[in-house]
Amino acid sequence: MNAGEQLSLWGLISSASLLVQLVMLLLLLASVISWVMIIQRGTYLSRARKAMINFERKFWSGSDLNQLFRDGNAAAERGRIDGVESLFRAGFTEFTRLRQQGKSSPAAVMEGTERAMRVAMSREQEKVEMNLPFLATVGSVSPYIGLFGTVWGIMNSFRGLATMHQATIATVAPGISEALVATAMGLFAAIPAVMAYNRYSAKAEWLLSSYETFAEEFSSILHRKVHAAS
Amino acid sequence: MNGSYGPAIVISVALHALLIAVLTFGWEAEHKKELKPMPKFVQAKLVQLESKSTQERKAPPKVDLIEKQRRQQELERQQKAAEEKKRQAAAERKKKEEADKKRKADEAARKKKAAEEKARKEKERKEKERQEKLEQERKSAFEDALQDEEEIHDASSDAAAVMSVAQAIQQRIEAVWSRPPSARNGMVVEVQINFVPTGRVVASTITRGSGNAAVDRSVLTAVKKVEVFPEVAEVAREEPSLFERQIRTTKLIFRVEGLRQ
Repeated sequence: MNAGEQLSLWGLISSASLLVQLVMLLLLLASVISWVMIIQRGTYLSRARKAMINFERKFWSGSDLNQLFRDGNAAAERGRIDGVESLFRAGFTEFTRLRQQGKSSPAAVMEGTERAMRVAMSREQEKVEMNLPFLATVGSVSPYIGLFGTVWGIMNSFRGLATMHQATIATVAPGISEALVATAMGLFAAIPAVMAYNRYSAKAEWLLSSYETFAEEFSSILHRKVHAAS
Repeated sequence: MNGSYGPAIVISVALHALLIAVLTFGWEAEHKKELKPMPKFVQAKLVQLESKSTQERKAPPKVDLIEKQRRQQELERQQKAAEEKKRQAAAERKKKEEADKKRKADEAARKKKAAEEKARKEKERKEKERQEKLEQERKSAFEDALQDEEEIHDASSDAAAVMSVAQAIQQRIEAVWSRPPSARNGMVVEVQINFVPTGRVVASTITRGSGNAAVDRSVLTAVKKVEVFPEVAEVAREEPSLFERQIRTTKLIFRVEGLRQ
């Protein structure tokens, strides 16, 4: 019997109809890309968290702000400044510039600084939340795509059954089995994507809220500085 | 500075390739195990055939070395014998030619005597042949009687087996038979059922109806409902010849009885 050949995974996939094969290909691509996102996001978020912890330790160790700013100059020129440090740099640059002009009032200095930090903050937010919508999309849509492939395959196998004189389970079983591969692939793509999305969105939220906290703390320090000087 | 995509892409593609490889090989291995029990019936037959052939094959190799030596020796002997025969044959031909000449002279005289002797011998032979024929006839009659007895014995045991199978079939059918309301006591339905060696019913027809279409149909649906008769499969496995002779097409008689009316 050649049933053994037909029932192997490749046999099932190759004997499926073109649409089902397309669905499978799409799901495989979705799975590959979502895993790329998962790995890339995972490394980025863990690196950002580590960088934040390191910078906060340096910041609160009581070192001079000017010294801290100068330490980051080399990295900033190469464009490798990330997370809290970029917030700090944006705020501090704006603050020193406004103070050097000497004409603006303390309130105006604080306002400009805060605005600069808000801009940097929204850029960081973009970076942190990048690709997360894609994971959410894969997680929610790929089961439906798989289900569509399955329904289509089962539809075809039942249509073939209608023309048979002797309908046995053996005439429908391969078709249904081949159609179910699509659902399996959809779930396979969706489950890691959903898990990663939930985990990473929680991480990103934590990161952003701690950025915000830092921005507030930093602006309060600058505030103190402005009013002490004037 | 968004984290590099290169390693992520490599890792992801590698993971998927690994998964696909594992799936394909794992799937194949599982599947072979599943396939094995499928052709049970055919396998049993094959095993029997193989055992016979292996016994036949296994026997010769043990004697092979000795036999080869023997064969070689025999071949040598045969060659020698053939050479000797040729010599003897040549000598004999010469002798025969000489003897023939003498015989031809003598034969004319002998023929007369021989003719008389032949007549006597023929009479004697005919008498002997008659006696032998009589004896053979007696013997063959005895053997025939023996064979007949054996056949009767076999037939009776076969008949018993067929009866038990038929009873089992009938019981199974009766167990699932649902009585139509128009069934009456004393109705008789004769059904012919065709089986395959797996015990599955391939065809069932009414050969003699009860006169009531609903009852006939109910019997046929009962046969279809049972579909597979394990007893028939058992007989086909143990005694294929009996199955072919008696059970492949079986006629069953159903009598509607024991109804409250």
